[in-house]
Amino acid sequence: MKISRRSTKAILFLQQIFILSAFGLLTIQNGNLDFMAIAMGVALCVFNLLQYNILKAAFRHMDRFVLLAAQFLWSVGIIVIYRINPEYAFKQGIILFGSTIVSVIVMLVIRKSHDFGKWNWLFMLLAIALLGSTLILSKTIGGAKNWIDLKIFSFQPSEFAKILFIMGSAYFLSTREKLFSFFPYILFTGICVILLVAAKELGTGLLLCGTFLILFFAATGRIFLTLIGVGVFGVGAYASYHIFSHVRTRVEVWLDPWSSYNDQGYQIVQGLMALASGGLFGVGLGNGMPNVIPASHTDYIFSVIGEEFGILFAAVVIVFYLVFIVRGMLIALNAENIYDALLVFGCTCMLSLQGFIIIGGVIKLIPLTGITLPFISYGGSSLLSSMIQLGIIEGVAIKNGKKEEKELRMMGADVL
Amino acid sequence: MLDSIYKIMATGMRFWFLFLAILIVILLIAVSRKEYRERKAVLGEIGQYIGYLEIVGGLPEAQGTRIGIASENTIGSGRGADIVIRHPSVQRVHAMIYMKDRALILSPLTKGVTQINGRRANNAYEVHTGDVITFGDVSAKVFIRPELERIV
Repeated sequence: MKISRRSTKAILFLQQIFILSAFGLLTIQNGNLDFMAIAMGVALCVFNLLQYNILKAAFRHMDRFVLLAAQFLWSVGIIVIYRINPEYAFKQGIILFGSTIVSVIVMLVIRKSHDFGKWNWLFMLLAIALLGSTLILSKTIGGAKNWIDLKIFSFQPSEFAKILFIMGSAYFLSTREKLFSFFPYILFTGICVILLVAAKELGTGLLLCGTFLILFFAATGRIFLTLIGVGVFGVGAYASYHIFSHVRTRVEVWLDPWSSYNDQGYQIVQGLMALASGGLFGVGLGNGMPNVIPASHTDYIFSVIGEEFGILFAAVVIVFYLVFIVRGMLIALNAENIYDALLVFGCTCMLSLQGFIIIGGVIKLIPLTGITLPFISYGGSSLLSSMIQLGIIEGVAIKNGKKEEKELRMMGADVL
Repeated sequence: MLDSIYKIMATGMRFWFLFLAILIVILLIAVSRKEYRERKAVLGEIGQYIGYLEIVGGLPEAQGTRIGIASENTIGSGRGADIVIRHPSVQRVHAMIYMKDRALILSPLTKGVTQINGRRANNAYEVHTGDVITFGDVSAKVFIRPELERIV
């Protein structure tokens, strides 16, 4: 008896066609031949193919579908970023290459590790230090004080604090039983969220709150306590609405962006108009006007996709996220211990919630908070942190696969 | 000139991109679903096994093969047997092996040779991990999952 692996050649082939036809189209953009575009397309194709095949050969039990979904997402991202500004696309490509190496290292570490034990306290302190450092050292980009400039490059510490938060959560929720022993963890979450809100980084704050509640419920199964948590979150949100003026502005702009069109509502209105002008099928790659939307290559990339490729295509992009989430959940359900399960579940939750918060903000479903769209948006820290989370998910998948193979071998079956 | 060609091409190709994206996502879902189901079926079947028989003698071409045993199986050379061993010395329904009160029992069903560790078995006997059982000329080693076996 054997478990055979299905071929994914067709998916990879279609993905290559997609990338090449998009970059082929971009080659004749702006009325002159831009051979850099096609070079970029070929480079991206080669990168995706090599990455997939090398990883598949190196880690037999890797979950290939998670990787394929992520590959499609970042390919769409690089196409759209190239169309907005080719220079950013090159940078994004280099970051993608670097963060693939980092994610492989993460896979190797996760594959060997159990929970990190006492190290988790250090991780939690580091997370608080990272978030605290933004308040002191940072410069302001886009209204939020969340970037640290290291002269050569600048980075967003909160992106890495997120991952440390998941690791701390998984450790506490898998090792503690009594409610009282959760106290340090709840305190840690509170400090993180307060630091984020103080740094005007509402999106990440919301993300941590949401992930905390989902993880807490998933790990303990206590409905009443989770509802109290939701209540505390509501009170906190209401309080910050009254205390911080920037929160108030966000909500007012969300309720009626048109009245402050020339000012704070400009971004939302431009994003909505872009989506509206795109309609179901879009105006065609390169025919839209992404340059009138502020932050079109980072936070607002979804509205550019909606404008140029159409809202149907944007919905397909969301389906890719769903595939990613479902595969992530399956890996979490298969994990051999609770720590691994919560780690993967946390990463999956965080990526999906992040997607929801920014897409919801762009389409004016919820108040807009500036965070990036995982894998698609331009941004080194964001892509790197998404890739680290991908690495964690794959690392646990490899661990599961090994355990399963051992079991199968024992009973005379095999995995091909 | 090139500009207007580009405009037309871009407008036309949006359907192509949508088509490709939908095709990729459908393939992705279909392939992963198929693989998942297959995996689940195999794992489910293996989960039912309480142990295995490893062929150790009499069948050189199948030496070392592991055959999963469920909680009740008949062994023989006939098609009706749960575990089929094709060998002239094995009877059509040769023996039966089953779990009872956390013990694996081997019970001969015919006059053919059935041995446990080289001694002829005429009645039902309990077998343990590591025992070698012989049907005709074919012998196999027993392995029972440690968590299922009664500690003697």
